Amino acid sequence: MNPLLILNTALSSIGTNKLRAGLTLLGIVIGVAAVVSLMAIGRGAQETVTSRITALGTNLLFVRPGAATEGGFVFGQGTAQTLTLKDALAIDDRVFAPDVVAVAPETSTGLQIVAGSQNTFATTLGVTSAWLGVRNIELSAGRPITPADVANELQVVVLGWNVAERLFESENPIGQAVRLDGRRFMVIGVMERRGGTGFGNIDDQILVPLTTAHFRLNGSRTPQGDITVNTINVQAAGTDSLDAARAQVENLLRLRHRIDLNDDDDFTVTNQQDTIDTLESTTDTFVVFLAAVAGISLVVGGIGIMNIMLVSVTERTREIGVRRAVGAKRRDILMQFVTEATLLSAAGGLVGIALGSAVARAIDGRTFGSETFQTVLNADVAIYALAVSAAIGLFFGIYPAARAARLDPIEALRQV
Amino acid sequence: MSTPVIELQELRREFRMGDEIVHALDGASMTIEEGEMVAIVGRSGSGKSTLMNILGCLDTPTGGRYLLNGEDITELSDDRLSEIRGQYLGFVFQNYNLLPRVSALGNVELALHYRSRRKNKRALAMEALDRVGLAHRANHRPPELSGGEQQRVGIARALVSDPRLILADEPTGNLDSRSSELIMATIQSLNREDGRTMVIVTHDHEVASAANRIISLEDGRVVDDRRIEARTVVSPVGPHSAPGVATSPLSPKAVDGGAVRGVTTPDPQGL
Ligand SMILES: Nc1ncnc2c1ncn2[C@@H]1O[C@H](COP(=O)(O)OP(=O)(O)O)[C@@H](O)[C@H]1O
Ligand SMILES: [Mg+2]
Repeated sequence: MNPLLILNTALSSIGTNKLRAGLTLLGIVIGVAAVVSLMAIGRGAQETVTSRITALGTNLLFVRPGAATEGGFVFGQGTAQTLTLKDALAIDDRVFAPDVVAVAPETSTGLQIVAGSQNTFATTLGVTSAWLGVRNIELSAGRPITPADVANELQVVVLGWNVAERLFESENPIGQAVRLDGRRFMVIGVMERRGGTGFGNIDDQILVPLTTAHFRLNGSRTPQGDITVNTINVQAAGTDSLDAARAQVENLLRLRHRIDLNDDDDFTVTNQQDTIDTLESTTDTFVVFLAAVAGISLVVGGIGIMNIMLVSVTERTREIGVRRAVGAKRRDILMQFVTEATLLSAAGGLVGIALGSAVARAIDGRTFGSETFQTVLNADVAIYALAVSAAIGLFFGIYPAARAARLDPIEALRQV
Repeated sequence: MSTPVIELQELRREFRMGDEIVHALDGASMTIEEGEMVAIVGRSGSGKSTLMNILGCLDTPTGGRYLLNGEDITELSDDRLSEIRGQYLGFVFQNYNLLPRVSALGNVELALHYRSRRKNKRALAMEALDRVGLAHRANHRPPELSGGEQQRVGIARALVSDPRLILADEPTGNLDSRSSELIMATIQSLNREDGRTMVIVTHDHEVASAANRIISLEDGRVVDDRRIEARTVVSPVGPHSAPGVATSPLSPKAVDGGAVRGVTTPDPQGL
């Protein structure tokens, strides 16, 4: 039979009871709307994180102490004490590491920072003069940390945007004094605002000379007496030479750390792409989880469809009888009801997509608590949602349709 | 001589009701030729509807043989029976069995729904409605029509697929005598003008007298089978008739009292 005819019949049957069709669809509508809006929020979060990481530059390598575990990046890295300042100096070698352009070691510690009556908690990075350039961060005011600051262990500090705002509000922080761990530091600069929240947000961090951090704040040494660092930021000549630079860095460090050919490294080199990949797979898992939760409401919607189709089959028993009498085969009846259920569900899916998109658009850019939501709507989610809702209609329509097809035409016609 | 439209040999249909077996048809035999108009009469419970269901390929016998156009339908698959119903058979029901939410035209069109590669279905449906004098009611839904009008829609539906055999189980059972006559005039014209074979179950002697053969059933058996001179039904003219087709609900050719066109009159003696 002509598929267009089946569709037409299904549409006119659905059209005869619009209110009921609408109510039945509600389950599917809500389910699909939930999937679409949650996916948009999840994708948005992913995009925010990814763009923040990409903003750092794609020609960066991060060397951290500790062995890589299966799958690469692990958040516990950086706690081991195997990476030293000497390692950083050794990598910064144009002969053994020709693809390395700049090296910026960094120590990290969380400290209370006080200015007058204001105080806040900030991740304090001990850095060298190369750091800002390697991390591609500009200052919004003041001057950067210079080699002289590092050489003389000066008690100067460059503030992240949020830190400056919290401590000084609208006042100009440059030249002001702050206390770090009870010691007096002078504010020499403020970094540009990067925006965003959470995960290593530079706006919440402060920079001090690496030597100052080591000798005056909370330095730590290896048993051999070397200064340990948490991260060595390595800038490669370009994205193309990233792999070469990585190999050179790894070779140098293995030599320095006396690691045999068959032994595991006691350090890990990652790049931005690794980090993005890991984060994406993490957020992907999260998004899939959200979608699964929303999917449950789709199943509930599907049961609603099945229910209404069973009612419909009972109500239309005579119609089925008449159709059989005028030549409909069992499979024609089966097709009719399956098509109806599928169309009904797909229609609900369409409404749900519209609703979910509207919700996602309404949320986009709004701030709830401290989080600013960014949502990303993709056509693939809509197509997927439509396909899933149609499939649900198909699945849950089969049983009622089979009941309709099994009806004995004589019994069906006898129905009052 | 040509193959009979219907040939029943010792037809049986048993129903199991718990421990009891009901013999609804208990060895009924008959032969109906092309172009006959047959009335089947009998008391309630004598097996008329059971017989009609089997004739209409909606049911299959539990014993005996049913040859439709020479084809043994007891051997056929459900799909093939459906095809036969759609192509060779038309049904008229006592309770009309129209879809209440679909227009008269839509109801008629439904009978063409399962026939492939037929274009202009709407036009054919309109033609059939016109044939029963209801073209002006095409867009009305069944609840807006009188019982007689609904049954005429039912007849249009039975005839739109141009079947050779039309089966009507108590088509006038729910109608007053005036509407009844109109329906019978229509049915008679399908037989006399188109040469279609008609089988009508009825209680009503007036109705049965419009046929040219009356078969009596009793306890699932044929107890009487006789040919009669068919009464020519004159369609009543009155308030129930549709305006615009006041003289006849039928096509104009019905007015000449049943002249057969292009169809040879069945010869009763030829059996
Ligand atoms: N589906 C069925 N199940 C059981 N008994 C049936 C069924 N259909 C018909 N019968 C029985 O068969 C007999 C004939 O019924 P039917 O053909 O409807 O008679 P009629 O149409 O002449 O009134 C009756 O006794 C009836 O009760
Ligand atoms: Mg009956």
